[in-house]
Amino acid sequence: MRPRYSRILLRFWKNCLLREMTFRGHFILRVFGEVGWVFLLLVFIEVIFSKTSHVRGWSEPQYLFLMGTHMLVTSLFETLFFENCWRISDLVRKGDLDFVLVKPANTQFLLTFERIDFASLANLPVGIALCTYAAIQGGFTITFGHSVLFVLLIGTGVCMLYAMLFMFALTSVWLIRQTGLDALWFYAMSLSRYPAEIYRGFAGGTLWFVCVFVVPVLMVANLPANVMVRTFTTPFIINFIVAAAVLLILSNIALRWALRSYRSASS
Amino acid sequence: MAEIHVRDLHKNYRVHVKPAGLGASVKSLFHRTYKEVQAVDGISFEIEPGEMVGFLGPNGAGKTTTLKMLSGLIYPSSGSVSVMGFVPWQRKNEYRRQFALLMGQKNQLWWDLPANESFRLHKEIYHIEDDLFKRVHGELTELLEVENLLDQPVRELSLGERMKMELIAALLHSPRVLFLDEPTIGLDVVAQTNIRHCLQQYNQERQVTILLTSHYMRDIEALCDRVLVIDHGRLVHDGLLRDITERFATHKLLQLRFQNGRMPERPEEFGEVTDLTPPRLTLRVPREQVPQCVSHLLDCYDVDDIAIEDPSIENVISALFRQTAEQASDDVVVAETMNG
Repeated sequence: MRPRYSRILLRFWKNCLLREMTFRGHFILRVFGEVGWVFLLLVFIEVIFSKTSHVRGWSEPQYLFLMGTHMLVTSLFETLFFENCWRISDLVRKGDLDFVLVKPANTQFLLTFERIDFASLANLPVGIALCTYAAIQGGFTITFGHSVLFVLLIGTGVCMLYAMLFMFALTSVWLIRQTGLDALWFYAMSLSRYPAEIYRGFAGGTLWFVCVFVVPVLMVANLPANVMVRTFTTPFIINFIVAAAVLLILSNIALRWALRSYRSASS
Repeated sequence: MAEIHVRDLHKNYRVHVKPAGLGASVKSLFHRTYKEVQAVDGISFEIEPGEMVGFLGPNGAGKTTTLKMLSGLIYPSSGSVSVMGFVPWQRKNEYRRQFALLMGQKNQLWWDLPANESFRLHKEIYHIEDDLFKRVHGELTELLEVENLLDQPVRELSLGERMKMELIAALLHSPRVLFLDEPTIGLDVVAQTNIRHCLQQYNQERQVTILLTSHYMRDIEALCDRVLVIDHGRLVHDGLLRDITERFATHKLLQLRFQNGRMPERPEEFGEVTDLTPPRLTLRVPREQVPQCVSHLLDCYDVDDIAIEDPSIENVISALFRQTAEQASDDVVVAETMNG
């Protein structure tokens, strides 16, 4: 008898929704926080482009499109996975991982999908609006094929971020106290917000190399945006998708490995 | 065929030894000292289907560690376990669907939601059919008298009420084997009795196998005929609860009432005086000296009333644990290993 994962997922989401509705004020404040941050970034872009017409070859509409794409990626990741990765450390430290382990369903599934953060979803329509506005402003020709590839790559980027943060979160099995996830996510998000071309010179180049090949966070927004409004090469896209698949497989191996060392905080 | 089969089970932990003080803390950043702790040190037992067995031992004796290995949460260092024919730490879904683990100190219900929402989630995770879910849910909520609390957020429930909900969550999928770790901890007497009663009835009706740890002797006395006593990771007794007294009680209690107010001048010659309120005297006497002591007292004094009693099981067990603790501190159970 296989567990019915789709029904478990629906029940998880329903419970999260019920919880959000209990704390309405908190929810509204968070939505304002999320959306307000976007306006700060828009002001920042306006300031830059009042001094110059291009940043490392990116025009203002292209840059705006990148920002919209980045919002789509981060909003999806934060809605689906951030809280789930974040709470792993808590589950380990308090020993509540026990309850996940005794359930007759895939442990990674339960850990990955139990929570959904509806407030982070607020940036999704804002991101879509920004991309649309930028596309009209720039007069980009966008084909149906490109759009499909765009959606696929956003999904791939989100999976990639998930696999990396999930593995990072698992280190709490050994470290017990592990609160570095916030910082890691902040770095990943800050780095991937800008065109990859700005990372040049010695420091920038090193950062570029690390963030493309070692911890591939840089391309999660850059690649889909490039596909839509600039140029791209097919091998790079294939490599990107393969890398995401490898990271997902690694995350599963890492979980099995971590659980062998799990000590279960005493009760 | 036994439902639970444990053979020569060991679990060693490596723990970081941190001396007190800031200087030592700084030193331990670079150079850590570890010691090997044998949490479970070669225990073996079998439990038949439908049995309800109590697991006794002081804090840190290895009870919870054993339960965790039986639930497949942690891997043993060596030894074998089979529960319903499964190896727990392989965590097969077929296994996990048939047992439940309830921990009195942890809660698995969604804190901000009514318990019913967590129950519905369990229904999906355990793939419980609608009819069965309705029936079991109805039976359990009635048995524990919580029908009117189902739609209140868990955070608003009292500890006792919450524990009942936890118990329902653990029983919804009708497990064949139940591991209970301190299910009544922190509860008042009424709630304790309630939970005890529910477990008893549940065990009788469904013939589930239950292994239960508790600090409350009352729980064990009420629920279990057979007990496993574990201390410092070793099994020191596997048998009937009442046999513990016979096996481990070294003394008996002698309660006497004297006539005419004439009492022994030096009662300590007969045994340890535990109570002296004339004309009553209570003595703690080594078992083998009881007949001799009684005949002497009866010969020399006018005894109005005499009673010879065994000490309570609780006292016997706590004396037993004290005794093994003294032994263990002499033994070398700790092997120091260095790690630079």
